[in-house]
Amino acid sequence: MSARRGVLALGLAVGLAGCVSERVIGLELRPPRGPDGGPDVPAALAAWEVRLVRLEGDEGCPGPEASAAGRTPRLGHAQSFPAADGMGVAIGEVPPGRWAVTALGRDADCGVRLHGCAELVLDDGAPTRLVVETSPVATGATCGCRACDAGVCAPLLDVCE
Amino acid sequence: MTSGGSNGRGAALGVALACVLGAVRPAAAQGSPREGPLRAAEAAYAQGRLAEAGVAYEAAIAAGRLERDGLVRAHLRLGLLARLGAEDDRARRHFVVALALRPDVPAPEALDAEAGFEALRRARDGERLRAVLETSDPSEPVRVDVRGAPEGLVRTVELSGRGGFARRLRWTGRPLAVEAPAAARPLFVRVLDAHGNRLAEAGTPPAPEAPGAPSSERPSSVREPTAEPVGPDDDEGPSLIESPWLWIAVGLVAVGAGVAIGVSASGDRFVLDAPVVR
Repeated sequence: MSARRGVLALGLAVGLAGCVSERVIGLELRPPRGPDGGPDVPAALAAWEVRLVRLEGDEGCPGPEASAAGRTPRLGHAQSFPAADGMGVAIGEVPPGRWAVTALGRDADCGVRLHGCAELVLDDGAPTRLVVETSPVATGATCGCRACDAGVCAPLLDVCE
Repeated sequence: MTSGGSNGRGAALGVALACVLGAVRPAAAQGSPREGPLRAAEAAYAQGRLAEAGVAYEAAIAAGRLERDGLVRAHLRLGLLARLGAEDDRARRHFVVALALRPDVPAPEALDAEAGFEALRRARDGERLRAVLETSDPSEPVRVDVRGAPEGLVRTVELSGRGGFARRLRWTGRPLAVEAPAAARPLFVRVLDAHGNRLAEAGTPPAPEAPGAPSSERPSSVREPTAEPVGPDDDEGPSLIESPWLWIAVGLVAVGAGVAIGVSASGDRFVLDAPVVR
């Protein structure tokens, strides 16, 4: 009798192992559109910076000033890639919850030329694709407590006060 | 993308896990089994209640009832949560404990933690926390050592053997010499953290008494050493303890619970792809 129970337990355990699912979410940064409908990226744009920030309570997306200056606590991820490359690296697994995905288009002096932010809720209704619409901004903020190196604020993961 | 809700699946998993536990040992499905607090933490994590999950993982560890896999998982999650809070030192401490317990544990893929985790793995060079029991000369004291332990993790060493022999010793970081009668051998050593969670074991676990042995041969005042509170689940009758099927079933339950915890914790794993400018 015990042996049968053991086999049943093992069977259930093996059966449960097949329930894991991975939900990959595509991330698209969308610059303003030109007259022809294509991306209208400022020529001075040197690099894109993407920041993933966890949101709590009723918080919404951080503004361009805070994002540019790295004043975003609960930073989960940040990356920068040359504007000429057109794409960055995979962010990887992110815990469930509410997140802000911020995109900053920086010139060589780390001035912010484009900014956009989208809220991402990772739960049962999570999307398969997230589009971050960016638009031109005029902010004097650059890297905050970080140093600018050819359009990249370093250290990228530092959070400024 | 999956269509099923995680709540529904969570409920189904809960039922399935209860079935797994109940199929072997009905009482365990009702009480608070060894991994119960960990499951609560995993559920909170899976639902994105990360602050609550952090507290629950700490509570699961503090309850002192985690097996090695659960302990590794709790420390990994706490490391990730600490990293999310920019508490890098704390994150590193948790990751080091996880690596000490299981040097080949997969790196957490979330939140850029992988690179730092792999650096810690390289620094440890595959060293596993282990108990060492030297009993070669019966005329000499038994030597007990713990190797590969992160500083401050190990608090207690339990030594046990035949005839009810049991010693509970405070670990100071240096090898211990323990007088043990020859009749107590073979010996078994278990290494515990500050909460009583089992970190490592070595030697030969004491065998159950032979069936039919008079109960007076077992000193009633001596119990196998344990850091856990003795609850209703520990009141098994001798006949059940003696059954090899019990231990087979316990092993299967551990496997089932581990898989179920892993599945319920993962549920839907959200993976963000590379940003593309279009």
